[in-house]
Amino acid sequence: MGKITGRSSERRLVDMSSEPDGPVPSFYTPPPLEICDEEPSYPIELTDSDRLHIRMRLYGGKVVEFAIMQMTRRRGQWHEVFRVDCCHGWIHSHRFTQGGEEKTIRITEIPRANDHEAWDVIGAGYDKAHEQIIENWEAHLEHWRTT
Amino acid sequence: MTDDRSLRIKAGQALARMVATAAGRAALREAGHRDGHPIFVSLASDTLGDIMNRVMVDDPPALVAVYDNTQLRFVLFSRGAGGDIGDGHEVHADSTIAMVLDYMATSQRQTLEFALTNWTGGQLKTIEPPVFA
Repeated sequence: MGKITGRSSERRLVDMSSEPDGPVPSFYTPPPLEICDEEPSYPIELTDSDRLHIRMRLYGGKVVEFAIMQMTRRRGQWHEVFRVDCCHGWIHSHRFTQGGEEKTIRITEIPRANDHEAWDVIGAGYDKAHEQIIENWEAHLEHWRTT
Repeated sequence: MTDDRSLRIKAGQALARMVATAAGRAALREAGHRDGHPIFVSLASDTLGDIMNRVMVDDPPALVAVYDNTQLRFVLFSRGAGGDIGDGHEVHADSTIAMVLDYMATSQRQTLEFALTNWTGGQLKTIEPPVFA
């Protein structure tokens, strides 16, 4: 009754460990994992069927990349409802539907000329993202349920 | 917004703020969190039975975050030998987290072993709350 059973079947979480091969990309990329402090992961179980999963990469004590995922459990399976991450040089939001569709919106471009400026933007983006996701958790869930 | 929902949201926000800081991550590690293990948001009015229903008994220690509208408190909930807690007190599946925390605070006990029907027992350990509210 109400036990956490779906972890093994959880959809694949955002992989922040891969680095692009080839030429230097034209957008911000975080420091490689091997020189970073850590890349912790925090599943926060808000209710029996609602979870936030926070992953972040830290360098010099700063958040240099993150993903915050809102997930819901239905029939023993965890499904992604909403996500904010910072891939390909932008902080993006991703809204998912139960039918498997995804709508991506660019929120903030991450500057690439200066790492410290980029990390400040990412840190501020993280703060905004977790507040927005948690405040609008039920609206995201309702959208996912009905689409 | 219900009070319960509001408290859960505040707890989630406080946890999200915590993990973005070195002090917060250190506090969670000190509280018993291990990378990738879930943190269960709970209400002070939740019972031990409620928590046991959410936590797999073979997957402890589980870090339970309790938000009482003023601060986060952490309880490390793990299997133990069980047994009588003594002192004329008793915890059971209907005991609320608030009752347990109050008892542990007044008795100045940092850990509490207990036995519950249909469960092999466990250990509660309160963690000094970090500064995050």
